[in-house]
Amino acid sequence: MGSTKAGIAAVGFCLPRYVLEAPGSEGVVQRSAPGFDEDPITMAVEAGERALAAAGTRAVDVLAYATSGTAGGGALVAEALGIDPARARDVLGSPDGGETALAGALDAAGSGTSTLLIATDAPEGEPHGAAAVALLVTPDGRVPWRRGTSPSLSAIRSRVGEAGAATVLLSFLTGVEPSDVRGDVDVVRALKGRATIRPELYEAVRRRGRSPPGTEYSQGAYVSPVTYRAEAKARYRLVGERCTACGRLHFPPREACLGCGAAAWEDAPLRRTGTVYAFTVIGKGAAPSEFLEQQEATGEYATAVVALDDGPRVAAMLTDVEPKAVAIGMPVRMVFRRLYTQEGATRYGFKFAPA
Amino acid sequence: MPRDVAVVGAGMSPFGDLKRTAKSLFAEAFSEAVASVDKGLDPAAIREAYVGNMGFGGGQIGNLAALMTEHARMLHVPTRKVENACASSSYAFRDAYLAVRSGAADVVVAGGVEVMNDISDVRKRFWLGVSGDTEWERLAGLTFPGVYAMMAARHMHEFGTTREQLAAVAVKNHANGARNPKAQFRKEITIEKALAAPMVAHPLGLYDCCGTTDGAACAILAAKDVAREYTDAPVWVLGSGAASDHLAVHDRESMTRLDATAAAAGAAYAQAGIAAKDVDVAEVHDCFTIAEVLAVEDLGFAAKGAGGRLAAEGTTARDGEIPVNPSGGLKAKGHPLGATGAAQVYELFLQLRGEAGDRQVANPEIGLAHNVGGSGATCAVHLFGR
Repeated sequence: MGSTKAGIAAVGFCLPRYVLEAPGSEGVVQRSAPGFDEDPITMAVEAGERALAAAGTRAVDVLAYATSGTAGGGALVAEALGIDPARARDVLGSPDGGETALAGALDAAGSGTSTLLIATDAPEGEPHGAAAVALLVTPDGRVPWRRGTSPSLSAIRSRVGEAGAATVLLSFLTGVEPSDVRGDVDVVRALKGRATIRPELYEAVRRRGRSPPGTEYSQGAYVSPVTYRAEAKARYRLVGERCTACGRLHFPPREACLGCGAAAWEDAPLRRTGTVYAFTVIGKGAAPSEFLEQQEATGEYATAVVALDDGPRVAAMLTDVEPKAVAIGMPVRMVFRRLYTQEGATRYGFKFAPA
Repeated sequence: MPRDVAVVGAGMSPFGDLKRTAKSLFAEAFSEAVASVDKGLDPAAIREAYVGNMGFGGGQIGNLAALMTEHARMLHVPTRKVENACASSSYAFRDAYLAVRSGAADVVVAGGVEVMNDISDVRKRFWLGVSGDTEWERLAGLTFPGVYAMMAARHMHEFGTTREQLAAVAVKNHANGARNPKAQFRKEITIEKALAAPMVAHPLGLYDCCGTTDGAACAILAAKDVAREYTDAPVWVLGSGAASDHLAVHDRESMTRLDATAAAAGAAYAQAGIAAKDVDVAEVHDCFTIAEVLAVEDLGFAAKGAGGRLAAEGTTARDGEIPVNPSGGLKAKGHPLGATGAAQVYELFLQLRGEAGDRQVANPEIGLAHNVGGSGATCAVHLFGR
């Protein structure tokens, strides 16, 4: 029998980096717009990460990934969040997907199943909007929900645009009492002060994934999907390895301990913060071919060796920052983003943004 | 008993954007090396062949050495490609040296070849990055200029090195290259011109970077027992050292030091029984200006952090206290990846025999060749004497 207590226990949301000034029908004045390395998957990871951090647990029975598009992503998002990908379900192809999945999650919570529902969208085609919302639905969550209980829908839509599966749930957050739930529900504050996207960049983001001529196929510096995914925990979640023999910490992972030569490890999740140890700015036209499409859209970019606060250093691209603003010693935090698309497959992984 | 080993002949093709094939360049370098043997050499006497090549562009990436030696008039010879990125042919040279030193062969050839300008710019960008760490560095959007740029940024941050000091390296090496008839860039430049050039990877500008080059070079090595049959002016290999390091620069303890260079140089100095101060002329790996600054420090010509001053103060000029890169270096002579180490040997063969023409250093007795693979994952150092 369902429990009447089932409800939402923790929340998180993600608005992408930019807004597009593009008035439309139904009072729309602005639309959220992803940067070149953001998409429904990266926004879902960020929203989910916030909800799980607020909840203080990663123990969920199901991850439901809802989007109005037809491309799934639940398994990848689960892996990036440290949740077993076998627990992921995709709810695809409907702008009602977020509400449908939430209704299902509440039913399941009544039977004792906890669900991290993530509704995420950045529809292609005509200008729409972009956002992701993550709701942790548990048997003892306090916030209830019924269809049609989003009083600020038109206000949110006017600032976010039509973000498919996420719009209604984002509106719903604005009506939640902060004291009833864990996590940030202040959508209105987050809508302020966002940067305006250049129309050319907006168009380039919509066209991305179609490699420039000559770069469609990998050549000299290929990282195969097998090799790439072998270290997914490091690439997606910044999880290093500690030698169980001598305790030395390694990131990225190694085949043998630099300290004692042993090859027995335990996972060591690293703090996702650090400082710029060294950096450079790759000028236009000088990028490796994999990043040529990005560079044509966004111009020069900064890349760095980051000294993680837990000790190891790692090479990483910097994002959400003007190259001129980067300096040695600058505090940065890890973000999960698109790296590049090759042979039709998009590679995701860590970058670092100003802390 | 290990045997002493001499270089008895050396040759080099022109370096540049040549619109020529690898086999024609290698054959030219080999023919010149054979012709340089004072008392003549029948190529049939060559018992082993070592061909350095990175494989840039992907053309004939397998069995390249057979094709090169075939067109260099050596059939039915044990041959192989040696690959260690930009250090490929210094490792080919080391392997050749070890074969002779061990007694396995009396006369061997070590060379290298690379053709880099026969593919589109987009394909070049793929291949220019292949010797860096592809799994992490490359995925951070880094390029070789980018990795060396970060080393430069750290050197500036830790030691106060300036862009002007880096530019002085380029100015010196272009001045030397202008006197080398086989160099890719035979034009002097000024500090002002170097500083005003477009940025490639901050803080490195266009003149801080070497170009992409086609070329080949060869050296013929012989055991002491037979060397006098070929020449009365052999150039002796006094020491050979080589070392590796972490492939990715972020894994290294320091970004302002190439430990592979220090280890390789230490082994070579120890074998030769000499110290850095005994070196009279050096060909060092200046793929970027900062790379020469790191090299002169890690080889012991300057204290750590003081390397930026050497070119700026004239210490490493052709008539300076320790001439560095009288050939023009990778910077001006050119850097056909797999040929560079062999081309350094060619230059020192000429310098130590007093045959370097307009760029001859005054009466050198000991020469040093320093060749780095990628950003320092591999390095080989060789010492030569008259």
